[in-house]
Amino acid sequence: MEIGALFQTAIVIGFASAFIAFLGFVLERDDVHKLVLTDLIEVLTLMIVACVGTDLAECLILPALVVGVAEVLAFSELAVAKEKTRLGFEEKTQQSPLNIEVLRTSPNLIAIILILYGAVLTGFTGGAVAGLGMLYYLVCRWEGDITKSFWEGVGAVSGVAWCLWILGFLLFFIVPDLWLLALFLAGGGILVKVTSKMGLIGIEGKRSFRSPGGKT
Amino acid sequence: MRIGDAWNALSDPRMVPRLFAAMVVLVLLMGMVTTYTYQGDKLYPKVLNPESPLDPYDRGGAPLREPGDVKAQYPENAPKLGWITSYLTPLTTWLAEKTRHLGTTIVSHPGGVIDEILYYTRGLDTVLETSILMMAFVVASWLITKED
Amino acid sequence: MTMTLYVGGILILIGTLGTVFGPGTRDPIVRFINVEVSSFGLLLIFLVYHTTLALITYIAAAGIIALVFMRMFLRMERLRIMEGD
Repeated sequence: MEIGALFQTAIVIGFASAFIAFLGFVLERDDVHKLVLTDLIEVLTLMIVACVGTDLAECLILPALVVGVAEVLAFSELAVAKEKTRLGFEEKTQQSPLNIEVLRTSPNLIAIILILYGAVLTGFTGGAVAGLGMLYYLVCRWEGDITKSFWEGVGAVSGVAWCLWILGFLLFFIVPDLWLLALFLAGGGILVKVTSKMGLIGIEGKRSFRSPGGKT
Repeated sequence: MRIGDAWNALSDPRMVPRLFAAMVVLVLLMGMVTTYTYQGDKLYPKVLNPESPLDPYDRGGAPLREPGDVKAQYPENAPKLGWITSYLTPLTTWLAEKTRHLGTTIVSHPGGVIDEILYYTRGLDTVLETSILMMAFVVASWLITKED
Repeated sequence: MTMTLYVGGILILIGTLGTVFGPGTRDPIVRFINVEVSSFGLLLIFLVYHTTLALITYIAAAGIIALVFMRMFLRMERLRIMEGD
């Protein structure tokens, strides 16, 4: 079989690259650099998994990609918080020094297409695609302000979606005859959950990437 | 060096990831000297059928009439094995009749072999992995909202 | 198919070497761009094994990850500048 012959080559490349990357991780001391190397290691280990070439391998890759985004976000926040504690002061301004033109001029249509396509896809893939669309809209176009209640509202939506998702899983195991209902609960739940989480990144990103002047 | 010093060095949070990475380096070294061969008899094999509109994910079966062909690890624990694989929503049935190039879109809509593995035969793996997502976002949200 | 796999593997190897040893490793942004070389190799590997859904998800996730990383680099740099003041 052809995949069998390719497996040998691919696994050697994957192991060699992962070896180099982990060695670099051992020798690195700075937090930011360590996080970049973690991202590299994620890529390499995903390659080793992908080499198996079955449907199960793909199913292990899909959640890992979405979870990887969340891990990078959490650890980047931790690194910044750690640096602030070490220096002993707060950031004075949250506005971005950058003035990126494309963030002001890009069309809304891209966000609409991404969200619609994500809603059609459902599941982890749909969550990531629709999340990218939502993030795009929030970073480029959204004019509202971040209040704590808004943040908690988005969190509540994702909490409800999480509950629907778990309910879908329980139905699969307790009442297998209701598999169709459980399938829609699980697929829709994870879509809303992942999308709303990515939206939170977008709300944060708006502060960091948009210049103080706003839209014009 | 006494064993107490070793424990103290291990308890330093900066040491733990580096130690873990060093261990993985050792494992990878051993993996590179051992030869890996491809095992053909795998679970959930990938079958390609370029003629089908569901191309990379066509596993047979008809929506709501007959189950698809899935080689699960514990078939005795999955009485409805294969039904999710063969299921297509009305929208995706229409898409499958119209075009041959939207296989991925069609299969990632509810139903299809990926959903079967993710939600049904391997469900608790997915719940575990997504719990990590939830915890990471709890940490991140707390740090972000604390600033305001 | 074999050619795609080799190109993907070589890109992954080059990206890894560039990130760990390559020029400009003191700058995290240069390192992150080297990681992108590896990611492109990973996309080619996904293509070889027909894991199309993983391909779409990775493209979407990589966009979000790049945003998160750039945001962190910006904030860290701002903290460094404030430290200098």
